Amino acid sequence: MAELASTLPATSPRFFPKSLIPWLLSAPGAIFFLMLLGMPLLMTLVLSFNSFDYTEGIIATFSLANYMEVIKDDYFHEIFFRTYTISVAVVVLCIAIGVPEAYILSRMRSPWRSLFLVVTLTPLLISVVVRTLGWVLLIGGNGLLGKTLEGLGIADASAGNLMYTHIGIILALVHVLVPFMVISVWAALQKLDPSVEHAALSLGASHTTVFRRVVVPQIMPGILSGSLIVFALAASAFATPAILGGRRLKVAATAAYDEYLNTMNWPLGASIAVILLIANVVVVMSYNRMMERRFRRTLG
Amino acid sequence: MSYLSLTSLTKCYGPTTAAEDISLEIEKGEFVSLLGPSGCGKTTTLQMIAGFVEPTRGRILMDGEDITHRKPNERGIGIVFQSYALFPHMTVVENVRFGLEMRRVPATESRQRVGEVLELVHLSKLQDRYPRELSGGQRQRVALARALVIQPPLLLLDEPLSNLDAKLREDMQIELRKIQQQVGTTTLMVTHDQSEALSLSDRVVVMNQGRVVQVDEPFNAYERPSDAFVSSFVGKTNLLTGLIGKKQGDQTSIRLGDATLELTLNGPRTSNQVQISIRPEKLELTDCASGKLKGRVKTRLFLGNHWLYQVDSSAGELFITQPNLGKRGVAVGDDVGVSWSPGAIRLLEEKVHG
Repeated sequence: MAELASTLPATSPRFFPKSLIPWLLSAPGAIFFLMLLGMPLLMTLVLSFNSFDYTEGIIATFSLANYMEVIKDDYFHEIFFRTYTISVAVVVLCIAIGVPEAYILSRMRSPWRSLFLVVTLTPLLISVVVRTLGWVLLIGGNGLLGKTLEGLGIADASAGNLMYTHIGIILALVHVLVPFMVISVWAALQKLDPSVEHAALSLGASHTTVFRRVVVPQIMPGILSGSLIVFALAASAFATPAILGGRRLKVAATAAYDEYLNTMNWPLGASIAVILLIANVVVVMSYNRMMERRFRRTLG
Repeated sequence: MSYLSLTSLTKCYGPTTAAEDISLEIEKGEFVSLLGPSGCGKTTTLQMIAGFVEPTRGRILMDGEDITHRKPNERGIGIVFQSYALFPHMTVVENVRFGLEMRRVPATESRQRVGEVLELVHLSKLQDRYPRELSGGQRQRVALARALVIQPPLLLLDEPLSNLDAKLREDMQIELRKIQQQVGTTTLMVTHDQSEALSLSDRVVVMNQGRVVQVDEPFNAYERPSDAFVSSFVGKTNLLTGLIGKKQGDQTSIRLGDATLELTLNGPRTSNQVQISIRPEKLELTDCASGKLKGRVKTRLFLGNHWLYQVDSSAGELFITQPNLGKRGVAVGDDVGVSWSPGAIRLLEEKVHG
């Protein structure tokens, strides 16, 4: 920006001091960002300090009462514990499925590779509500899974009912979040020199050893950043847990929603949202710090 | 019985043939180079020996065993890749040790062998560095150490020096030759750099368009190239066309510009033309009157240890190099004579078309 300014003829009148120009140039974007993200966040934060009365509604006070309530109440402990248990399980499953999937994709030949990459990404193209309702058809009370189990004589139809269970939510979240892991690992795989794998083979390593000792350590940054995206999205997911978990199996996002729209206790809902946000930021940042420290020397 | 023997090795990719009918015998302890321009099939040949490319036809025998269809990780061949292909997440020691770990070599023996090979390539001090903390030449030596530590029956070098700068490349050439002679491993190198092939190898295999053109000692490949391709690819040369004249005894007179040469024809000729190759360093500049050919200096380049002249002569354009003996020599535009000693001229055999 400074270079841009300095190419102006020296004699032309300058409306702004030179140091202001970068700020002015980035102002439109910054204002847009602050209006649409910063303001609502700030208002949520302010709201979380207010108090609520069933007869009077929201009272503009400043207290940490809402936070104390969330922090002390076992009911909320359970909700947050459930949220993060589900998120961690989703991350683990996404790694277990996404990493081999990306590796196999990268080894495919030319026409199939791009075709299957698109197939992998299709869950992202379908509306989250439609996709989740599709899961209801599969794992619902009278769903395909139950019918199949019954038909094969393996178990009762009720065993196939995964509605309002952890497994159901995890299954549906993994389905939609695996593409993020695949993309992130895929990007890391593209940077690998194929002759490194050949070198390991020539030194007598089997294909599984090559994958475990040579490929995985090199794509670790991709796996870790993929886990970050998956974790953050799983922890703040709303539609999937709302439809498959309902009121019976609340997570932090659906709990906040219920405080807002059912109990009408906006301040309490806001404080749940703020705690969820802070917890996510802390997890993501410490994870990132750990990654940087670990890979600075080896992979840059 | 030779140590490594390739028998009509062929690789086709659909309609294109990358390597055709490659047959080659390599003795134990020999250093052989596959030399050719890019796309001549030399890398494909190397990959077939390494096991990364399945041959369409032909056989590979190593030490009497047929390894044509053996998996690459069961061949035990040491390979140094063009990109070095070091494991970026392992230190120098870990990189070198990898092959020994795969062979389940006991820890004490492994430590000793890694130590010895790092000593050999002068990297003992840098053993705990990661590859990205090393220079190109150091990475190259790690790659060499990693391939040598498994004591391979055969060492394959894929353009090992092409990523190094000129000065370092020369040093590494000497180093590589020394190490190879010290260890005595049978070595096959792929390169497009003729000076590298000539200086390092016991024998050079010149390849062009998927085929072997000439297999010879470096000196012979340079002095007695079998055809126009070899003579121009291995070193620089002047290719001239002469007209065949009268034959007297075993001597035939050949007209070359305004000169007439008396030479013995090698092989049968169907046309009255003959291709002649003369190396630039074997031509001499003389004064106008005493030269065999007359010409005029068109350009002159000073290259430090020698001068490169481009001379328009009656036989065509000639490149001539003259050692720099501390004098300025002739200038651009001067009329000069061009001369050579009797043995300098080489008649190329006629290509059999078919």
